[in-house]
Amino acid sequence: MLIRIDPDSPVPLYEQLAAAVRGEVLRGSLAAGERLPSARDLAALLEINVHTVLHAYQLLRDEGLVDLRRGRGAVVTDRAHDFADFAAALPTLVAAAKRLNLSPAAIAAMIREAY
Amino acid sequence: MATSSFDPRERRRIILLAGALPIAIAAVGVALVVSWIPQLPTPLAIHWDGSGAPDGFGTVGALLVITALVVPAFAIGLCAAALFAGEGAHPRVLTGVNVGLSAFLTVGTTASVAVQRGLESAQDAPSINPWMLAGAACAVLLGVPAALLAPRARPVRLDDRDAAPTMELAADERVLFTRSAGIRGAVGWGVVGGVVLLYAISVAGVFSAGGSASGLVWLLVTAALTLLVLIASFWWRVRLTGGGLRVSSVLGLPRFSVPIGEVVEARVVEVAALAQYGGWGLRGGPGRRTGVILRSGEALEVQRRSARTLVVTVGDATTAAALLNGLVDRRSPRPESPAADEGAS
Repeated sequence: MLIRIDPDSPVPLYEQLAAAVRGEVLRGSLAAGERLPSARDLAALLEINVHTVLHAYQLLRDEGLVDLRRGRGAVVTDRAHDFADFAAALPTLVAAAKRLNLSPAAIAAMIREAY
Repeated sequence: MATSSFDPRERRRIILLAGALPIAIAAVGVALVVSWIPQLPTPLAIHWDGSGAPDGFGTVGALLVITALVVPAFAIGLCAAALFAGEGAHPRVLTGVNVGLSAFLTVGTTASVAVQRGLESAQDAPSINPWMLAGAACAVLLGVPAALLAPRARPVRLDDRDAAPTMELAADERVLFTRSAGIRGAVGWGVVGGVVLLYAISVAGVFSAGGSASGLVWLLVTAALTLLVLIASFWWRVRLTGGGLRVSSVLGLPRFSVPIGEVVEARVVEVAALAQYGGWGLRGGPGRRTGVILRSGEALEVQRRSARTLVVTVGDATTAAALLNGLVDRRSPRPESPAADEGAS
């Protein structure tokens, strides 16, 4: 699992952290059933506030991507499989977008429209 | 993958030397023993004590099992290992061991039957110690030439791909890479299960033999220690933060901590467990390398300033190496490093 957090970025840290975990699930390097480090450990390792980590974990729980259990930390749920399936569809989309010279922002906007 | 394969002629040579030759030696032994069956006492001495007096008796079948089943099974297994293990297979060693073992066992069992021809009772069987020595001599005399005739191990090809990847990190970017690295599940649990089974059998043996309680305690203590060592050898965790790299067994020890300032460069390398490190677990390797070797294939290699180079067969090694190099670069941009410095070997 690789997590990168940049305090100088305008994106809030908890969103960056949640995005990083989501990205690792999509990349397949975090599988269903795997346990994330405890909020306290992760905060210490990344030198960020423990509440920031908890905020990110709650966001991921609301998405159904992790289970939060007292004493057990955050565990990646079975939805990781669905995410992996979804991720498999992305390269086709990206390749098609590249053929049309569409920027990532443009694709994001189109997806937002269609949603 | 760093694999090696043999051409058809070499394969034929391996099959002849490591497979057919040991089986042929054993077959001669089987033929001789079978031809002597009418002249043998019943029961037959099948085991001798240290002083050379027979202390175990049975049928000729018990001895034939060794030459008719054990030797061929070994021959087929080791021959297949030499042919198919590919990477790191040492056909010469396997052939030598195979032929030597066959010669030793065949001479030993055949001689122990031969000395009992025409005896009234197996109790009178003479010592077979000289014959065991003769067997050992035959093992060397046949095993060494056979080994030398077998093809050499193929040198392991190391892929030279983009070996030192890097990623750009923002000035204050926080990073974390974690990944577990373990021996392949079936192998690891197979070994652990085998050890547990062996100790269980030993415990049962001690019990049924009316062994002492202290003996049992020692057995359990060694069993527990063996298991701990196995677990610490086979299952590891790799953790990389802004501060540096930590590679530790799941039990916490042994552990290697490499502060980022100690890192010269991280590379992605292809590891051949047997050929380069002689096996799995915590290993010494070529060119002053310390290896946490849990499989062959992709590995993270970290060249340190003041200690041995550390190699870990962790998955996603490209990410780990890139992150480590990114951290090093951020600390102090590297000059264009010359190609792999192999260090003193």
